[in-house]
This record gives sequence, structure tokens and C-alpha cells, in this order.
Amino acid sequence: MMKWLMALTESVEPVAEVVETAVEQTALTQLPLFTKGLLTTAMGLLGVFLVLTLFFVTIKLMQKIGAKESSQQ
Amino acid sequence: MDILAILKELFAGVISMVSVDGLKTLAMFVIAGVLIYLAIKKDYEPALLLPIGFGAILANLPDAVVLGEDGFLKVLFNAGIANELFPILIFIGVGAMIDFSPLLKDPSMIFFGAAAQFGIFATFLVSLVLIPIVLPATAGDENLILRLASAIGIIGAADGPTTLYVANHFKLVEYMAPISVAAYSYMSLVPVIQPPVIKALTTKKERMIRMNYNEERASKLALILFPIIVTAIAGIIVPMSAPLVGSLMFGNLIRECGVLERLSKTAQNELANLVTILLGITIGGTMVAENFLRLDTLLIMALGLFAFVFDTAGGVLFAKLLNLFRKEKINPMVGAAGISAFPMSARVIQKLAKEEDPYNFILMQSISANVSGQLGSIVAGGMVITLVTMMLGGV
Repeated sequence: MMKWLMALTESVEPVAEVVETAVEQTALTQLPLFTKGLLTTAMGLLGVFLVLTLFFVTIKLMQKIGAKESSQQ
Repeated sequence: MDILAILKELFAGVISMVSVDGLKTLAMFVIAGVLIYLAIKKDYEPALLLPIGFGAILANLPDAVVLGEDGFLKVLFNAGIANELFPILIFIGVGAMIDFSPLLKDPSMIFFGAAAQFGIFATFLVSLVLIPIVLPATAGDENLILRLASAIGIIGAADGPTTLYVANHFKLVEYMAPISVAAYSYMSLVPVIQPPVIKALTTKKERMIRMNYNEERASKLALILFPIIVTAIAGIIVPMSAPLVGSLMFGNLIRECGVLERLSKTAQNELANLVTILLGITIGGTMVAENFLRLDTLLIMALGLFAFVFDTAGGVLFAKLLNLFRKEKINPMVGAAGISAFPMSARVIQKLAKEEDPYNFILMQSISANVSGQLGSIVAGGMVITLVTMMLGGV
């Protein structure tokens, strides 16, 4: 029984995954060309600012750690 | 009769010069000559323009043996550009040349590296509209339009390796020549393109703003940790940028670790120089008349210039926006250094600042913005690849 259930799950899982991916792709790929462009622009700029903001936070943290270390010394 | 046939065979190259193809070849020789002239006479990025110009001559010789199946330019193309190896090797060298110390002292400059990517996305949108109009053959082929618009937009970052990386990822082999020539020639024309844009967007008073700079060097630990953390963050959030960020930061880590001085020098000199020579001549080799003398080339060159101008403008306007809220004002020219042409853009900004006030020194701030631009353009390239691939449902 257990074996049969496992086999059933194994055969179902990949199918579910494929269906989900296909739906996601369809939603984006079916957008009008300029909407795709606007979405890419908005998300792209947001992504660039997000990543560079994380770099900024990292540097700030490193500066704080450095300042703490030097004051301890 | 046999002698005639032999002579015809022997002088096939000469005969081909008195045909339409011959005229195209001559036109390409003129274009190559202009690139070589700019390199030698005007000193505009000679390390790039001269090999590109010479490569173009080689590629347009009758029969173009160098581009045959075993031709050396074809071999170099397959070995270094088709698989994105040259841009990555170049970035190891560039990383070894970059000192992130000024940025680590004044991290607020990092945002200029993001703002100056505005032109990439503005051009991307404009390209989406213009490509189907100017190139009717592409109309209806959304896939090609999106891919081409992405590669054209990235030209604005003034980052040759990233442009090649994006164009190659989207398999734009046919458009590689104009895209790479636009990217590299605009990079070399930073001193010509940026000053008028900056002057148009700033007042003399703004250009004279002085900025304080802390001379102290960043700690060694910070300099070592920075490339590692940046690689991890960029690699996790924008995995497509990992090869470029990774190689740039690997080169930088070699420089900053303090125990690999020999490797650092090799990366900065021998590696960077060797790959520059091979990259330049290989790009030149893509400039075959039939791929280059087309309307596409003019469109790509024009949109590339537009992207470059808008990237510069994006950085300057962002600095002006920040000045509305800051007590300590930023010289808005520094924003223009947020493009990736390192270190030329920073030098141009310093030169402009000196023109207005001989005692104004904003080189270090400009360098900070410039290295941020290097990071920003790679991240932007990775974002564009990821998003456009999603929009296309795969490439």
C-alpha cells in the first residue's frame, strides 16, 4: 500500500510542477510587448536599486564593525 | 583558356574588388581606417579601437580566410565570445585594477551606480517602439525585438564586457558587430559625449560645488570582505549576474588579499592586456560588410548613443534630486560618473570640475560613483537577462 502511494505521489509531483510552470510562463509571455517592456523596466530598476542598497547596508555595517574594533583597541 | 582560368583564380580577390561587394569592402576599409585613426591620432581607447579596426580589415578581405572554418578569428570568436569567456577574463583584470576604498569610505555614492542605469531601461523601452518601425523585417517577431532591445539598452552602461555578455546570452550573433562596436566606441568617446550632456543639465554654480573627502583608507578586513559579500548578494538575488560579478570580485580579492601580489599584477597587466588584444581583434572580425552595412547598424548606433546620453543624464539628475534633501550638497557632475566606463568617466568629471574651479577636487567621489557604476551595470545586465528570459518564456 505504502509502495503504491509513494509511486503515485512520484508520478503526480512532476506533472503538477510542469503545469504550474506552464501557467506562469503563459501569464507573462502573453502580455503585450510594451507591457512586457514596462514590467522589465520597473522590475529591473527596482532590482538594481535593491541590490545596490544591500551593498550600501553591507558597507555601513562593515564601517560600524570597524569603528567598534578601533575604539576597543 | 587554362591560363585565363588560372589567372582568374589567382586574382579572384582583385576581380571581386570591382563589383558591388568590392565597394562594400572598400566602405568597411574606410570605417576600419576611421577607428584606427581615432585610436592613433585622437588616442580614444587605442587598446580597443586599433585591434577592432584591424580586425575589421582582416574580416573584409576577399574570401576572408580568417573567418573560414579554421580561420583564426573564427576560432577566437568560438573560444572567447560565443561562450562568454573573454568578457569574464577581462573582468578579472578590471577587478584587480579597482580600488573600492573610496566607495567604502563614502558608500552613499553607490546609488549613483544605480541611477546611472536609467538610460539602459529608457533605451530598452524606446527600442521596443522603434525596432519594428525602422526594421520592418522584425515586426511581429516579439522574441527578437525584446532580445535586441535588451542588448541595445545595455550599451548605455558603457560596459563592453556586459554588453557582449547580454548580446551573447540572447544569441544575437548577427547583431554582435554593431552592438559591440557601438559599446566600445562610445566607451572610448566618454570625453566627447559626457561633457555636453553634463553642461546642459547643470549650472556653473552646481559644477563648482566642493565636496569633502576623508583621506583615510578603508580597513583591510573591509576591503577583503567586500568582494566576497558582494558576490554572494548579487549571486543570490540576480544569479545571472554571478559570472560577471564573480569574476570582477575575484580579481578584486586577488588585489586586496595582500598575499597574491604577483597574481594581482598579472591580472592587471598581462591578463587584461592579452584578453583586450584578442577581444578587440575578434570583435573587429565580426564587422563583415554584409552584417555591418545595414540599417540595423545605424539604428543600433543611434539608440546606443541615446542610451549613453540618458545614463549620463540619469546620474546627474539623481544627484540634483538628492541635493534637494541634503544639507551637504553633492556636485551633480559626480552622478554622471555612475556609468561604468572606469576610470575614464571619473577623470572626465574631475577635468570638468577643474575647468570651473582649479582647486576643486572631486576625483575620489567620482571614482566611487564610477566603481558603483561598474557594479550597477553588471546587476542591470543580470536583471535584464533574467526578466526578458521570463517574458519570453526562455531563450
